[in-house]
Amino acid sequence: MDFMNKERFKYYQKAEDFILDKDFVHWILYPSNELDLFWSSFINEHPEKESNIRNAILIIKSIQPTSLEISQEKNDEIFRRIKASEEKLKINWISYLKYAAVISIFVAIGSLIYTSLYNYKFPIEAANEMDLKGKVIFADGSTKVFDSDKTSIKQTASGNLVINSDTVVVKVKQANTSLNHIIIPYGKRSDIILADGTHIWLNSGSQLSYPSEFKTDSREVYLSGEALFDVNANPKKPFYVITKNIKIKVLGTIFNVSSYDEDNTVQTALLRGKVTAGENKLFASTVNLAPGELLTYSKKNSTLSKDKVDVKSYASWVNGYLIFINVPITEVFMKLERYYNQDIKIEDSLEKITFSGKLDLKDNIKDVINDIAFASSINVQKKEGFYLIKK
Amino acid sequence: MTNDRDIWSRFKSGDDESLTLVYSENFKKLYLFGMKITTNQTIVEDSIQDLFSDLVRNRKKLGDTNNIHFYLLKSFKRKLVRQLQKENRYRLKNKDEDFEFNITYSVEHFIIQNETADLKFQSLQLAIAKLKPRQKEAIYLRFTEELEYNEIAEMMEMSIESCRNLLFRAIKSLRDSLKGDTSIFLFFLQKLT
Repeated sequence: MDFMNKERFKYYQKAEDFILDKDFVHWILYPSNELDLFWSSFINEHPEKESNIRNAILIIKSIQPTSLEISQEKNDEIFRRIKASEEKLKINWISYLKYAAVISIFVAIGSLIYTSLYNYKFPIEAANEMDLKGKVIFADGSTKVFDSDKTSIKQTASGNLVINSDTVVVKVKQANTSLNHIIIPYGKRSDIILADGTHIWLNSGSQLSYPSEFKTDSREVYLSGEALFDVNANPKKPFYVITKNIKIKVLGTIFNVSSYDEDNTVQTALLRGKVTAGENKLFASTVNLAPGELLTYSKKNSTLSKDKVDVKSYASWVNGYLIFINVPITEVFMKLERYYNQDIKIEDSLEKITFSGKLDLKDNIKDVINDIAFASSINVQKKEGFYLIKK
Repeated sequence: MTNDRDIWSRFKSGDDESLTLVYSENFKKLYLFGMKITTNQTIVEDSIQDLFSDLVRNRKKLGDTNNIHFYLLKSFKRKLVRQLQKENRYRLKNKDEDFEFNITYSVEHFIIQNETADLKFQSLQLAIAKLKPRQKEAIYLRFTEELEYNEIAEMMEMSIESCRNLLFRAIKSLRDSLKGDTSIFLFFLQKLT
């Protein structure tokens, strides 16, 4: 404390004067012999201020929050994570110098391997949430916007694209590595037939990147969001669905993938056939999935887990239904928000409530929400621009 | 903390010890502050990790500071709120006012001297419960983190003047709650004796 300035306390009248003084607060929080001595003699000299000082102490103490126990392990774990990200950075540097010293061809190969190992960049970036229209961005950078709620897209073998029976002629013949990019905003849906006959249904707020023609010995598409895949069998050219976190290998099958950036998990539900999936990195171990199984990837723990579920309910959105079995109500509303592009705010107290039932997505959002509210005995209020769900 | 500037410049020049020091001195404070804004531990932890990873990554480009605690608290709040907005982007509009600042105040470590204090304490608890989230946040920053008015104002994106007012009004309402109850209590006490 600035003892030069302690004169000021003499002019303090009310409890507030003391409470709002930083040095006074510091004494309450971190008492020391020196300070205790100062204040007890101060009170002796100014007995008329004693009751105000006592009130000030009471108030400052009462607005101290309950402390939460944080384990040392937690402290250490997060520090390890920080150090690990730093190590990665260091390796990056050293390897780069090493490669730079070697002949150019090795540099090329080295950095290629390196890129795929550490600096792998997922080709799909977050879409502009304000966009209300879907669009295709072609490999040459040109775009085609479409406005319909349900858009049908067909990629023809000749490299052209048919959107809702309009043919879009793609002028430049693309190299086989360049990708077309389909963006479906919240509130809209689309289905796409690729050049190999594979049928993909894209749910709201999803993006798909794919080559106009599969020329290499594998078929790779990239997904962000949710899609149902009906993959045309071709054992010689396995089909890969690559999301930010996991990579799914397919021989010929029907399955649903949900990989939204804002969700904590990536889910793959297999309806028919066989797929294998693993983390989207080199040398990742993979898991086989049988029909009726759901694979859940946790972004937090980087773990994969399998469950037996009613997989049909995971693909029901394609037919205009959502089927839920004991699903947390927050998740139900999350899906409706995407499907209808409608803000829904949920009170935290509802987090533990689950919902089971079938929702017809042809109904308008108001009816759907009211149905849920009725079944779960919760309250709905229509506010300016959003729905508020309360207990 | 007079040597914050030194520690910080050592950290910037790549000194590992100072990273450990800065981390261990601030981890718990950041964690507790984060848990006042959200109950989602994962997000709080990830944001702390992100914060320090970014600091390490950009250590050469960082500005100077003579208050590391404030610097970290401010960057941490920004990170955490952005993360929460991303997570709840359907549930929340864009302003961080939507994040309720929640504090449970403790009674345990406050030793109640006598029954008068006990009664006072109860009326205080009631008054505290009536504070608005922004008042609670300002109180936390002032009386737990011991920040200056200008620092609180900067963190809460308001002017220093309105920050002072916000705190003053909060404190006054707490003080007023004491006034009323004690007099009633004393009145009863007199009647009984």
